[in-house]
Amino acid sequence: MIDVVIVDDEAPARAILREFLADYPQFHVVAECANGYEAVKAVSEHRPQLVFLDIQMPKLDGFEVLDLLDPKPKVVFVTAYDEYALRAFEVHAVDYLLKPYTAARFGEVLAHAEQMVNLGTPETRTTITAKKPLQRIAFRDGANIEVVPVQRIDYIEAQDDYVHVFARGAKHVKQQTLGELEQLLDPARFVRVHRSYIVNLESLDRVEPYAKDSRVAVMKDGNRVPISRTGYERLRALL
Amino acid sequence: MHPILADRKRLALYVVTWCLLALLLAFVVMEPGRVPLREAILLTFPPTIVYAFICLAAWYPVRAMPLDRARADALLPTHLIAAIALSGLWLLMFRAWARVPGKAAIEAVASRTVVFLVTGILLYVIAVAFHYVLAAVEHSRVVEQREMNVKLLAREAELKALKAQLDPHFLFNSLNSISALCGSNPSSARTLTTLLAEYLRKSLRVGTADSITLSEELELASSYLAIERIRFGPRLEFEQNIEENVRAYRVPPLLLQPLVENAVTHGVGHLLDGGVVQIAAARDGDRVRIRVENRCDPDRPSSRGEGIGLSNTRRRIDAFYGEGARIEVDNEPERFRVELVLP
Repeated sequence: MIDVVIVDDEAPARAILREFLADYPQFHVVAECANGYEAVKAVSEHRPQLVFLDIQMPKLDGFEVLDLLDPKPKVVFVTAYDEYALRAFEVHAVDYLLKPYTAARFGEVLAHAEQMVNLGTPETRTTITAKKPLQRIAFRDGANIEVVPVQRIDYIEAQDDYVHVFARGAKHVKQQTLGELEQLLDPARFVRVHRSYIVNLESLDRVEPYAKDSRVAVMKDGNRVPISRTGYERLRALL
Repeated sequence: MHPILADRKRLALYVVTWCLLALLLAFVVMEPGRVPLREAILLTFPPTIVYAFICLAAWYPVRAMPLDRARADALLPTHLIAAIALSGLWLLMFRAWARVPGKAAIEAVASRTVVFLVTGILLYVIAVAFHYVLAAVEHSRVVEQREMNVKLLAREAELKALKAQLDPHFLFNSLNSISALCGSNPSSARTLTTLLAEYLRKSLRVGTADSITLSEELELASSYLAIERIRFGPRLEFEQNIEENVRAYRVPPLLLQPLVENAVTHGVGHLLDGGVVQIAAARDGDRVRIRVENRCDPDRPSSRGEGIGLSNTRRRIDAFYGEGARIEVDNEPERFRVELVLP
């Protein structure tokens, strides 16, 4: 028996998945979700082996949902947009169903999914590259999900395997390396000023000298962030 | 660039014309027995050809003082002074050159001073007139080119608007809904098929018209929203507030469509609990105001500049209504409002 969660914000789209799945008794639908928040909650709760995931949804898109899930289930993306196929391939999605699809195509996808679930490899991953810079970051603390638009971020600090993201006085934690996050952010706006720090140029107030040969960034909210020598060169190139 | 020097054919024609003039002048100068035709030709040709090139300079005052804009009291003295000075030069050239053919030629020129001066002035005036004709031809070509560009731009905007209008994702998502409803709710599937057909038929029909009434445009928007409502369910609501006296107002076809689509896909579609898309139209003095408004997610990613839909709309109303039309965008955290103010 393979547990399945269906995620789509459109009721008819959920209905056809449920209808087609009814012909395959080895698949069991444990939850249906109408948005990304519900999806993260339901997947964490039911731990399904397979998720049918829409991409364009309110608040959290399909990739962001996947990003927040740990462990990650096998995923089949179901969408009317063909431009996400490459990203789906990158995160090791089982398949990519383009709406509308036939029962025959759905059968192929299920056969493939069943094989993948039983083999258990390869793992579904988080997106590591993106065509466009990241627009928002989703954080999860237990059942609580928060989505922060990147323009609200003041600075980011690395702590071992985690990043601490400071945005408008609040601190958000996420398991990711600073280097990975740096790759996803808009390089014209976010600068790696230090091995352990990234600052948002729009939240930067001024740069002050600090001891001999080193500097510190004073943020608009008064917080101070150390700047390394190479970090200062990067900053100067952008200002 | 000079219109004659730049074009070999024109230059050849110009020189041939002046050669004929030189020949004519040779007959005037010729006196059987004293100045034979051969000598007369030798006398008239070189100075006339040189003068032909001097007269090309008429282009510059002609260009600086177009007939429709320059004032007559500046135009006449300028050309008159130029004509007198140049014909003096023309006479001097003949006097100097007459030494080459010989004594008879010198006498022939000396006895016709007035004839030469008048001829010089006349030739210059003809050259000026000729250049004015050329300038007019050039001007009309530029105007024609510009008009064609404007037409081309308008057409392009139209095509782009039409293309943007039939969003393939809308079509695919609707087809997916139909496919889904076939199993669970066949009568809804039939309704949706009919709605979609109606919407496509209407948009194809009005797409070729130059303008349609606001009523027709709103009908189209309503069909679109009715289809989207089947997909989004109760999350999508729709309100219309249209004054009776603007229903017959004419708009370019599918003007509101991109705005309504944006309101659904970028506005209400991003809200967990959905929202209302409101369309209002009213007369305001001698203008018509059409407003599309929707709730939206305050956490939406900030968009830099305006979307393709909005800049297309801006171009279309500029092309259709000209200067008097404008578009106002109000981007609040929880509301997005676009208002078209049309003459």
